[in-house]
Amino acid sequence: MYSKKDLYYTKSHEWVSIKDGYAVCGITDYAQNSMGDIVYIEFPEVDEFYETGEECAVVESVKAASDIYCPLSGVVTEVNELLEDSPEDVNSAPYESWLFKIELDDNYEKDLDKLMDYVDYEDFLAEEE
Amino acid sequence: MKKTALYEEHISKNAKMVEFSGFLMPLSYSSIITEHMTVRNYAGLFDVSHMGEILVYGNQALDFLNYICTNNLSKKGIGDISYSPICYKNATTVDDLLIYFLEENVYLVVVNASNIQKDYDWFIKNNKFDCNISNLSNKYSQIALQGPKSEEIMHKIYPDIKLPTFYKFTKCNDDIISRTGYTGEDGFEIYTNNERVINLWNDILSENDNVKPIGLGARDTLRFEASLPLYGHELSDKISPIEAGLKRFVDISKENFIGKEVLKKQLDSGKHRTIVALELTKKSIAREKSPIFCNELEIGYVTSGMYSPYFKKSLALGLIDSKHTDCKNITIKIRKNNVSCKKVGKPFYKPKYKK
Repeated sequence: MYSKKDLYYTKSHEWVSIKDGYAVCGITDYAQNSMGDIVYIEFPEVDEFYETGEECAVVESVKAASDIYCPLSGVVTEVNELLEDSPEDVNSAPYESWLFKIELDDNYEKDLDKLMDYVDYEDFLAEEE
Repeated sequence: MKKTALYEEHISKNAKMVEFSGFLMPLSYSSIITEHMTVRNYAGLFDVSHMGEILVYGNQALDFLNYICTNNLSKKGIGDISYSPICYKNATTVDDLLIYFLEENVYLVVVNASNIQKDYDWFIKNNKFDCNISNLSNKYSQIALQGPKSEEIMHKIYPDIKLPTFYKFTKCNDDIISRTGYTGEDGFEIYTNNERVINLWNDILSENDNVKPIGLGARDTLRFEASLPLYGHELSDKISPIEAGLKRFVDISKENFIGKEVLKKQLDSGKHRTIVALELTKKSIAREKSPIFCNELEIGYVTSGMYSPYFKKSLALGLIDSKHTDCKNITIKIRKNNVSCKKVGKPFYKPKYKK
């Protein structure tokens, strides 16, 4: 379970938890609510390297397909296969339903300023409304 | 942006609103999947006031309608409803309509929201008959109650009348009540005035807690499972009713109607495209226009594709060259992947009409 206050956020509504050179990523409550019922997830390729901001996954909802962007450069080490059978868990528990894990690039810290903390993300959401 | 008379009701229920054919309509109130299953299992109420209503009346009203419609309307009488496509000369489709036989020489034609002005102009242009055409779309509100419990609820709302049977209508004061719908379930569509509709909407919803308001998102998934055509997808100004699988609504023996020659050629030759129903082997969704392949050959495209809440599968309707309907290796290209499909029978969901 990832506490919202400890996470980083992107402008495209992904959340990231960073620890010991690894990142765990998912989508925020705002994202799941605007997508509606999620029915399928096309995960990133395991062992593949993705740049910060590169399209790496797709979340399909009843109404549309949404691209997911890699929040920080690195190699994908694992995807959440449990979501294959119950993609709707991303709607009901977006901060528990991680999508993929990344082994971060050595110099990932230079990209940290592209991310927002919890307070900045809340402000960002208030402007989006 | 136009609003229906029920706009404030949708806002008060925190509906997600979307623009549709110039109207602000509710996409969903809770979730599309929940609303869809409410209609399949119980009953749901739709605001469909964006649809258009055109009155056709006069001594030659029936002749005019038989000229523009592919279906034969002479077979029906007062109290009956006919479904018919209307075609251009090249047999592609202007729109698909419901025609209510109100009185002798008086017909109410219900048209798709996206085509109201186009249809009205088409009617005027082709009216070489002793007949008048009035666009009454602003005067009517329409709601639809659909689902296995809808009859039970309608008896409570209209206790003093005999409810109509399938594809018939009855009147109760200012309301026209028809046994029609766009979901594959038993249900009713009610036409009333813009003032009364608000009380009617709330009366139906408060009749039973299990009856819920349903948005356009579920309206689409429901009609899709029932494989009912949606103009702009399975029917369009590039697709004929024969290609859409609607030949039972084309009476080729009718003397003269717009599109007859080309429709007859399609029927006689069998050489035309056809809409097929496909089940995908993955839950990835085949969106509209995704290309369809038979082995390496591109044979058509997806007209509607979505997740089916009832079957819990990804399904698609596609328009393909009819010579490939027996292909054993059909795939749909979704982004970079070719997803294999199998052809299944239409409709996906067998209708539960009470006939």
